[in-house]
Amino acid sequence: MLKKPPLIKISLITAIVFVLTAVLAGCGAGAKGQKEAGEARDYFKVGVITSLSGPEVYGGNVTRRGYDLWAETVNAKGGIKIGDKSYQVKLVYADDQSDPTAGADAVQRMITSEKVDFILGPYTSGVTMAVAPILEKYKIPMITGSAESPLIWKQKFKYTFGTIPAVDLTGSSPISTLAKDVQPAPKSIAIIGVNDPFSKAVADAFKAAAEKEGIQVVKYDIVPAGTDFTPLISAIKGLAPDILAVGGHEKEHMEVVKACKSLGFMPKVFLMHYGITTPDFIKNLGKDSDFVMGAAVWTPDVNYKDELFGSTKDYVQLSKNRWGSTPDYTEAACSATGEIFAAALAKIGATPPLSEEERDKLVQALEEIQVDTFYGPIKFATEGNWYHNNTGLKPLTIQLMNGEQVIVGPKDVRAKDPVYPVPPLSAR
Amino acid sequence: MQLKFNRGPQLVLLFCFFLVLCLVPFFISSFWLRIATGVFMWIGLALSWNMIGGYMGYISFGHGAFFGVGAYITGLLMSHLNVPFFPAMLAAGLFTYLFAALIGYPTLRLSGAYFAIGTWAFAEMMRQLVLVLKVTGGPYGLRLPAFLNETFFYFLMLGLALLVFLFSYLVFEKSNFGLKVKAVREEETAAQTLGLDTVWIKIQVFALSALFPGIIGGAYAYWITYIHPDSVLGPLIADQMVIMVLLGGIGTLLGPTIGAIVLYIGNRILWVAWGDSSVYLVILGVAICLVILFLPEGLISLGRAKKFRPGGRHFGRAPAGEIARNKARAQGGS
Repeated sequence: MLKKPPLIKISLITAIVFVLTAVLAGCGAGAKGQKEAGEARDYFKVGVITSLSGPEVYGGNVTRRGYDLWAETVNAKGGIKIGDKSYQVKLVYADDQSDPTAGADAVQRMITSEKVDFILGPYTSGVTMAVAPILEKYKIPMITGSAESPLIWKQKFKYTFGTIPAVDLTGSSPISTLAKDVQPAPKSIAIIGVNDPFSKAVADAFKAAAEKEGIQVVKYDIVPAGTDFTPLISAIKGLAPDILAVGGHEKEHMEVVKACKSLGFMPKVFLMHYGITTPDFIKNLGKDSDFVMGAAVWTPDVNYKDELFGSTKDYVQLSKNRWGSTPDYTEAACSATGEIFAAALAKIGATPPLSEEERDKLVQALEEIQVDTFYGPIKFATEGNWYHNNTGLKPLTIQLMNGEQVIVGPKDVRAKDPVYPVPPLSAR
Repeated sequence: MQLKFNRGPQLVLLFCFFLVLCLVPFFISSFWLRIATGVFMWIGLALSWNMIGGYMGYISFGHGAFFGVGAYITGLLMSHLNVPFFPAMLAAGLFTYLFAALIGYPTLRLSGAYFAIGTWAFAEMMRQLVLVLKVTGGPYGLRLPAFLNETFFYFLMLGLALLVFLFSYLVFEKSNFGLKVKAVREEETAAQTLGLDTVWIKIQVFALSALFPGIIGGAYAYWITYIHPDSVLGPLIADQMVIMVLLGGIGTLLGPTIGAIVLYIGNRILWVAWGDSSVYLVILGVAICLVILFLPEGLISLGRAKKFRPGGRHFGRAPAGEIARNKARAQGGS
């Protein structure tokens, strides 16, 4: 009697495993079946991998709005024109759960099961780094409309491109505006950076630019997210720097400004990146947000033109109508990313589905491309530390004035002169 | 479950089972192969956590840290010192083993919620440490040389999962040591009175349960090629180990295995079906809630019909009579 049960159980387990294997094999066969069916399609199948859940879901949805708006707009106009025929675009989404492992699984599925032609990339730099080696293996081109970590481009991935210039390309712009365009030029700077890849890269960029311009760095501190800034600010108050620069997101920037106000410390200017352009920052700080300086490659006020969206203003209006909010630079970059692929496809005259040879040609076309979009001119670097990152855009210095972002540098494109030193927080 | 290897037909079945697992990579697409690889990784992790959480009854929220430390040590050895993969992975396991013994020495004197909080704090400390250190790349993360052979990683994770399974079976289900560990779980003071050096036993179990996550963390780092403090040292890793074990059935050999399979495959299948929104996460959450509400002993209790429960055949926490027997045997063996 005792002998029987384990035997039954083991057979049961074995049966389950066999069934599971059969199911898995079925999935594999299903994938192969899709491939054959997919070979005759007359639309571009585009994979989108981004964070639709997990800690980065807010940013993931920003990218999604940008990619969706491009697909909707291009489809409404008939599709991507290749030769004398237009091809519709179909986006296939996969959630990377804000996690590199799930991102790698997602890209594998996009490539082997969905057989996508190319990929619109993730929101975070971490997922981008996990996905890129798999794209190298399967030779599938990807442009990320969001990731900004300089580390990605140093790896020299052949099939990965990025629309937004890395932070070490943009962060230096306000420092050089301050060093060259104001009188008397600032002499010292204190830098605080938050301990995430993006914010730390911003702080590093500020530091490198300040050293290059001969501004003395009196304090440089990298702190964990969620830190209380009060002790740090009181230490900085004693050093009395001309500039207080912060690498972080809107939440930290608001906290720093509030801590400075409560401690009665006023540098000659606040320099902050990223998030000062979000409605939250301006709404929460009110008048205290004025005169904060930052870096951007794109604001809703720039004036560029392209065929698909018309002008930057038209794009901003379209996006406002569709999503009910003003697009930020990441959302806009994602829409522009679709346009870059469309331009490169038109150039090589490749029709869906793309063969491996055509995808290689596509990469070559992306390397050579110079295209004007509502986001600005796009050109990917083909060597150096920013390999395959867009270096076509001019970094801008912006300053908030009466709740508006005003371009104050570089000199040849500025709308107004930079205000420096700025009026103290207590006197506004 | 008691597997008797000396029984002919069962041995054949086990062999068939193993053969099927070995043939899997040649029949499924590379996407499903990745999922299968992930399943085996989580089986290994869940079984490792089960050593301390299930057999010894100490709830640790710090096991994600051992996984992360293993990943980082392998990554650092491979990318900075050009050490080949296997020695790097084994070194990582050895390090986490010794490291856990060191950490366990003070923390294992705590019990219940205090131990859980202590291990959680330790994990958070490791994450912050890796974030500030320069050598680990801090918030930029660390990239390893890429070796993109899905079949290799499938067999690697399969091997590791089998290793942890066999180890758990031999050490916790079959040996005197396992009985001692269970005695500590059921009644620590009584075990002490019987002459067991409970602190030493606890440290050994804690170290053993950290050895495998260290090794598996190393394998993971090489598989995914890029690690970041948030991806390998975040609280989610430990949380997932705990949930898999609770879902399947704590303190058993098959429970964590089933929990890992169901949760990981369930997550991915729902993700494939509804991946363009995050609805699938809600479905998954509801499913876990239902299991915990209606099957508090885990999914394994589904297969535990009454007719399979004659003397000696147990899956979960042992009945009272058995505990007494276990203690007596443990005493005899010590």
